[in-house]
Amino acid sequence: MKDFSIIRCYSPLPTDEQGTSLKFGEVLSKYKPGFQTTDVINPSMSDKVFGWSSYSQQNNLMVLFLFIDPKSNLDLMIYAYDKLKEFDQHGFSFNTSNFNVYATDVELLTEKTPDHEEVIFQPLGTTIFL
Amino acid sequence: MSDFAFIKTTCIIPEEYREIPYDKLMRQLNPNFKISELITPYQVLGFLHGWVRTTRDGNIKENFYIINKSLASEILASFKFAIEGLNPVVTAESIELTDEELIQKIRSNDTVYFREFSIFRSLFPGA
Repeated sequence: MKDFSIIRCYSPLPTDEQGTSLKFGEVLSKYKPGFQTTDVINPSMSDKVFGWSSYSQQNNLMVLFLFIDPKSNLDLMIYAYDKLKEFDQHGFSFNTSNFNVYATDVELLTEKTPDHEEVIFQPLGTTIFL
Repeated sequence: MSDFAFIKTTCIIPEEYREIPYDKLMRQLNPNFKISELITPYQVLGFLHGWVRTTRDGNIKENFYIINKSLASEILASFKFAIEGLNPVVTAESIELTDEELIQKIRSNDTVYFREFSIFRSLFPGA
């Protein structure tokens, strides 16, 4: 089974957030009020995103996974990169060097989403994971 | 991208294994071979900037590794040593790619990894 890709974005937590219990989206919205995790998704390509999961705190990292249509992985990655790059102007430089895309299967997905805090699958995606 | 060199590895997947994902197949048939042990040190040291896997003609898996030009021959030698005896056979060679060819490979990826995406961002216009 290899019907989707994963984009992985991660960054060390900002120093002043280490030890707190803020989730991925909460950390970012502190620096850019109103920012939501879904803002990294190109709105014109939202049908290419099957879901996402995120976590923070593990090893002081904050990590976001997007589960996407493999045919769109590059364009979605560029958009997400540019969105997170905007945080350079908001007092937090997201480590945008670390963007990976994996074509994967369910087995690998399980390895890549350890102890996620939030996981959301859109209706299209739920059929993939059942 | 003129500071980069490229190593291409090629693996022809036999018909009977065609339905098995490439990663899984290689792990299954070559349990002692771990590609991460070969490439991770180069990534950490900043000599390997990324890689792209594509599929040609349905069963030919091609990996393109983007490396530092200054260490190209050493890294190629390491690859050739590491892939010796793999099943199915994997070959490695040094190749040249123009920016346009690299973009085409990235756009047709099965899998792509960028160590520092900021290096590559300028290759692409807005998403």
